[in-house]
Amino acid sequence: MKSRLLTVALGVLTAIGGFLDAGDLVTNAVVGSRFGLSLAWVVAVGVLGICVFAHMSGKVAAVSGRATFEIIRERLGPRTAGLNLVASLAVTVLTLIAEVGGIALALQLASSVDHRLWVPVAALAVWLVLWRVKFNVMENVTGLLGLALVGFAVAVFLLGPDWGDLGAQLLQQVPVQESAAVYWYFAVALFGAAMTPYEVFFFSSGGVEDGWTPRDLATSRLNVLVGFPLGGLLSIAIAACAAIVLLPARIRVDSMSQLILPISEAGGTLLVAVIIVGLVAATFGAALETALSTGYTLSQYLGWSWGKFRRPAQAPRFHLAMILALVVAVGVLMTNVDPIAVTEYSVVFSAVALPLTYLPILVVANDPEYMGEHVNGRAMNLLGTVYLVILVVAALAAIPLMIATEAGG
Amino acid sequence: MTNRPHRQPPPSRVALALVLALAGALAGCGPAATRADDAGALASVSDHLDDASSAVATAELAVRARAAGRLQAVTADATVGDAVEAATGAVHGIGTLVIAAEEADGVRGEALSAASAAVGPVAAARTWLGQPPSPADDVLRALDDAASGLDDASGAVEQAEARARAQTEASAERAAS
Repeated sequence: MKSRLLTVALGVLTAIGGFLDAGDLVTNAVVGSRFGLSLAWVVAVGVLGICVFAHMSGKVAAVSGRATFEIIRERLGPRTAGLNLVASLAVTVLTLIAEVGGIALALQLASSVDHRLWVPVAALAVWLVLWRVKFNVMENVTGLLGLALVGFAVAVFLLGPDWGDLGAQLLQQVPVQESAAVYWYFAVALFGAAMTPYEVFFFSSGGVEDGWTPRDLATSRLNVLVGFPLGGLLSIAIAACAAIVLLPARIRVDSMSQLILPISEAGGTLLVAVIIVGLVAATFGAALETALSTGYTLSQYLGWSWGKFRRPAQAPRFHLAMILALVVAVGVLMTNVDPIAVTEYSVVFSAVALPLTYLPILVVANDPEYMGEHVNGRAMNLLGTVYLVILVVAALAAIPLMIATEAGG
Repeated sequence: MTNRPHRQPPPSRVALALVLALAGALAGCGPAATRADDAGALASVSDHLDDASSAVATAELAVRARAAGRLQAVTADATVGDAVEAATGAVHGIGTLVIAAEEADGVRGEALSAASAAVGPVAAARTWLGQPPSPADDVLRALDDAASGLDDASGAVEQAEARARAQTEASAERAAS
């Protein structure tokens, strides 16, 4: 019998990967070093939103025994689902590129060997795990190792901040040295980062991989309620570390290595080592998630056999899609593009693709043909609709804000 | 309406129009790399100086942490390596800006000198990290001096930017009246 700790591993893996991937790690630190905690409310809004839609998505998987994307194609037809596929796949591959780069950057912190040399090694390691390691082993190991990032929360306490001052930042609006447009650009970026589309597709497909049934609805709910809020809390802890140490030093975060500075001040070499393990695990977990999401969405749309519960020979096109995505990621990173910049852009484009991803989930979760007695209740539909309005506003504002602020200046 | 038959423009003219439109679009994109007015260009200089100051502060924190034994050598090296890249990028950014007005261009030159002067101490910090343990006083002093130089340059750029904005606004008002 699985222990209670391991039953929430999928939620922890999804949340660690979704909330704390390479771009989120840096975006949260950037926001903390420029705005203090004044944008923490966006993380809270994002956590609630992703909980709402991941819950629907997990419920669809548990009740129907099928992944969300399969049903979206069947229910809405190939054209609408195709639009959804193109939008989410583009963002997911962009994110995969950033994650492979993120693993390389994290390994650079542990070795001082240039990240460009780590890129092929990282991609090869991701492929080997996807090819050979069982889904439950993969989710448990990366999810639990990713918990090392709790070190950021520990660091906040060890730094001994002025809690009143930190609390006051929560209520602060636009800091004097920043413009309103830049503030809202980062608000949209944080929101997009929190609600990245691949998270829900990975979560629902992972539920099918784990063999969820209607009896596992409580497990799905537990995963959502533990995993995503945990990811959100750690995001705020990263921003708080940056706000306490980097903001007063006038350090503008532009690399992953700067995340380490508050940690070294708080807990010395031991905590730094723990955080580096967490960074490698989180980016590795996110790379696995995004590569799998690429295979899941393509296979589910095109009707190929998919899943890690099948041997690679039984799902060859599913594995080929993931291999091709990894090859693209390595190819792009080898052009010397900055992985952090790639992720920052992917987060903004993710905001643009959000309505296309989440509207179909809401539609499917309300279809009694698939959901039977488990269709959404009124409260869930109200929350879902409110979030869809927010998603549309964020999607419309993302690109103009990016242009107006020169991507945050 | 006339009875004249409608003539399609020759394909070569369509191609020429497309090429001109493309060239126009590209020409329109060009100035974005430098900024259209001096105040905007000086704002860019200010941004790059902030990047350079951030790189110096990053190196300083990393050296202090390493000297206190709170940061592993390889991690400190990776951190300061990134800071060197950021400082070098700031020099490149300021050096490639084009400013028309002579006074503002002089301020840009001073900013370029300050940013260039900051690269050395940041690189020296990385060298210090690669050597056997020794006191970090000299490295930290050089970083402090670089930070002061950058602060002075930032102040001068902000003043010049304010003057340039005031001139632009005055010109706009004159044109309107």
